[in-house]
Amino acid sequence: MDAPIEPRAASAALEDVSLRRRQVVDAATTFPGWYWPIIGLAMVGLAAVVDTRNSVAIGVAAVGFVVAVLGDTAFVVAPRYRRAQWNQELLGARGAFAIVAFVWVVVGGSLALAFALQAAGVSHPATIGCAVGAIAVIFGGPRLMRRLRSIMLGEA
Amino acid sequence: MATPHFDDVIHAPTRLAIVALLAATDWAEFAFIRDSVRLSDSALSKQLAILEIAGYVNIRKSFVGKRPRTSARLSRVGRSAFERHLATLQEIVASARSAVERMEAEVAPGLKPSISSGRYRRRVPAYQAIAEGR
Repeated sequence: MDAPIEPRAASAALEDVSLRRRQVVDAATTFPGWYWPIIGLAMVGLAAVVDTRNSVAIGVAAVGFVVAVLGDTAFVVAPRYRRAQWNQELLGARGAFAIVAFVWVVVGGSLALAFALQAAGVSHPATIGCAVGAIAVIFGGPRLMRRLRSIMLGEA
Repeated sequence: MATPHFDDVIHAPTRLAIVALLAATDWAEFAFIRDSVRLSDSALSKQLAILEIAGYVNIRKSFVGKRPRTSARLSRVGRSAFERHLATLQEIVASARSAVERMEAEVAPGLKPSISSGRYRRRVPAYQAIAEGR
């Protein structure tokens, strides 16, 4: 049976299909440069208040932290998701695992460092621990997004 | 893997672009599709109407405040048709590639099949003819 179209046309059509998928993935995974620094600053801000050991201030800071992180995320993700609700199958279990692993490494690493510093008698252990975590977020966040992009494009 | 089937409705370049875009989404806003595929509002409406009549696309109209918002998604039938069409395209490209490799082996049996080798490609004029489907 003859092919309905020439190989070159089929190849061009496949390239176009890849391009369209890339457009959706780029729309989903391209975050503004200020997104990760805001998360990092919120972490350090909360930790600095925790080091004061003032329970009222800690309560207010915790609420502020949650509002900052959720607000930042909603402000960035919601308009993108409204424009194009990317297919969840693109992210898959590997993408979900990458996100969960990133959060665990950052939170777990920050807490472990903070407790270690506290045990060693260093002043402002939470602030220092979370500052290291914030640096990991600022530099690791864009890497996480690149990883998610690769997974969604089937390149990883 | 989907059974290959060439779909004339999907294969038209603008409709292929729209369907490929929708295949990567659950729902996509009209404006997102228009901007991504670079069509005018009327051209996109026309193409979406064709896809909707074919049963490949579902259209949803809603309001955000007083502003109308139109979204589209690939129906189950549309997704299946797209996957089958994609399988056809992949099959055509794979057949052409294996034909080239066979020819390379016949012309120069001592050499490894190397489509990626530019020097070798120039020495086998038939390569280009097959790759371009002539």
